[in-house]
Amino acid sequence: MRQAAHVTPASFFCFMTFRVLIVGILLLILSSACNAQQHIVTATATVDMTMKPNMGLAAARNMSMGTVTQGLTSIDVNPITGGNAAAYFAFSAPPNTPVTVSYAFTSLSNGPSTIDFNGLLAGSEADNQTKSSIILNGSTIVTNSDGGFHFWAGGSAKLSRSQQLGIYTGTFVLTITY
Amino acid sequence: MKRFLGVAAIVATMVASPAFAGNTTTATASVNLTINSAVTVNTVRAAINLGSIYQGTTSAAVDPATGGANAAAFSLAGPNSLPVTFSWPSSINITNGTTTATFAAGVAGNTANTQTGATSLTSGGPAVTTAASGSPVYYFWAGGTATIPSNATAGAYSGSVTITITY
Repeated sequence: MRQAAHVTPASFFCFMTFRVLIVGILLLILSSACNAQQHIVTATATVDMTMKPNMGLAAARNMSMGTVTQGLTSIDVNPITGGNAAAYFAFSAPPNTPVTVSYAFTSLSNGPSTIDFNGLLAGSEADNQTKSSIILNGSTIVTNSDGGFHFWAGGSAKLSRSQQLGIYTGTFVLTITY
Repeated sequence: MKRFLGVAAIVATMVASPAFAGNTTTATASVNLTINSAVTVNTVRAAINLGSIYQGTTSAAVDPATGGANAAAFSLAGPNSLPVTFSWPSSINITNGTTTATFAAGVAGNTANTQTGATSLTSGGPAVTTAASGSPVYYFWAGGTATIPSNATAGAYSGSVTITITY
């Protein structure tokens, strides 16, 4: 005959304590697992980039033919040897880029009177005027390894012996096409 | 008799204590404990340098493993042989204030401080394991690719990307 199980208060207390302990341990493990996934550190990197204009052309200095006395029939500014009398243009583009150079110029005028003007252009990869060479209208040049090219403009003005007095101005327009 | 002496001693102590109360001084020491993160990040080089490009360029990239000094560089200090997971946003914006370009970061890591031997990591996992010994326990480099609108304006572009390391 099977004997009926006898549960004493003490054994019941032990059983319940054991259950509570197990649940506690499980909760601890679960908590640890949760905490483990929350450990983070961060690293931040900056991202920097410079975008340069695709092409830039600036007239950095105007041409100056100086002051002459009435009666003179010709004034020249050599773009290579003319120093600061020559106009200066700075050009920038991507390195080693071939571009077409063209230019146009107007006669010089003081309003009522004009003077014939014939422009000349010189250029160089380096910023060295005296080492530059004449560039013909419609020529192709190639920018240097930094994307730069330098131009100097000069020209020749033909005056009449009785050229009207005054301040004469004109324009020399440099155009780069790519 | 013994019991009497014990009680007498206790009573004596209780009676005597108030007599010394006026002569006590106290000193308080604070107890400080700092718990540092088990893993710390050291920034070796913070910037991802995409360099100078010309307008019209629609992409610029720095490879984290082969990009040399143009890639950002970091190291991890912490336990050896610890699995760690790297994650970062799939894309961030970089801007010059006028134009916005997108930047997708890439990260490569190595247990040795050898950038060119770094392995490309995947954001969100799988986990990599830090070095079995020594410290730092892991090195990683960040680069990425910028996608630039064809009509982007000239100027200096900047942004930042945060890499999260989970362990």
